[in-house]
Amino acid sequence: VSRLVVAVEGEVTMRAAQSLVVHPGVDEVSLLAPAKSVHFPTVSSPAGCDLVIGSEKAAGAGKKHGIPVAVTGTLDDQAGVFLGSPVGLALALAVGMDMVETIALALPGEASGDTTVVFPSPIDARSAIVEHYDGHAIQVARGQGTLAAVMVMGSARHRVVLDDNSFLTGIALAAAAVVGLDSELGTAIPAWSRSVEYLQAAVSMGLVIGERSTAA
Amino acid sequence: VNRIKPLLVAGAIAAAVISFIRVRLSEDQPVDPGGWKPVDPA
Repeated sequence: VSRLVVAVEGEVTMRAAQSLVVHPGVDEVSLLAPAKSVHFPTVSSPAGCDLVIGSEKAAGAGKKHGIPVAVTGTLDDQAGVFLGSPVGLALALAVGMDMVETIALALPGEASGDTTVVFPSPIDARSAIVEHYDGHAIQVARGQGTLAAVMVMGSARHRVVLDDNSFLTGIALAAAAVVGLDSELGTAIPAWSRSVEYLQAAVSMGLVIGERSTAA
Repeated sequence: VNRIKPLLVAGAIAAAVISFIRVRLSEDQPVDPGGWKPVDPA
């Protein structure tokens, strides 16, 4: 029996709970108080559960109770899956690709940067800045609208996922939780360390991976 | 009327110039070539 507790911190974590509750292999999803929902039971403590899911609040609750976590951010000295986020999704897409030239994200936000990344329509060309995550340089292109995209461009092929930002980000976290459930979590592992399982979970929850060859 | 007419003409010309520049700028933006196909991660 797999019991998950989600520490809700906004729309993304609630969407992750919704994706997980219907996922095969997940028996029970609860919300950590004080969050409330008519669709989920609420627990005052994650004690006894298998995994705590969310962001900073989840990391804190997991650490306090000695329970593995699946989080959107990074982890220090704590068992769990980290970067269950568009960053983790992009790095999972990059696993196994030859000569990766560009790893890029399109996210809602204020545009900045002096390099241009061209995403599939309707996001199209956007200015980007380079941000570093777990030692990886990623071009982050923020702009108007609610869409998000993760894109990896290698020498032989390109891969992309494009969807509503909350939907995509919620699934990126929920899929990390699936990786966590299927792993012996004695330490912190990045979501892309089990890239095939991570991407398969994300696809089963509704994301679509697009790919094209660079050959003419 | 004689004073307003040149202003209207100048406004119309300015609007046309702005519209032309906008179209040119959007034409200069690179576009994704497409060709994406859905794939299974396995």
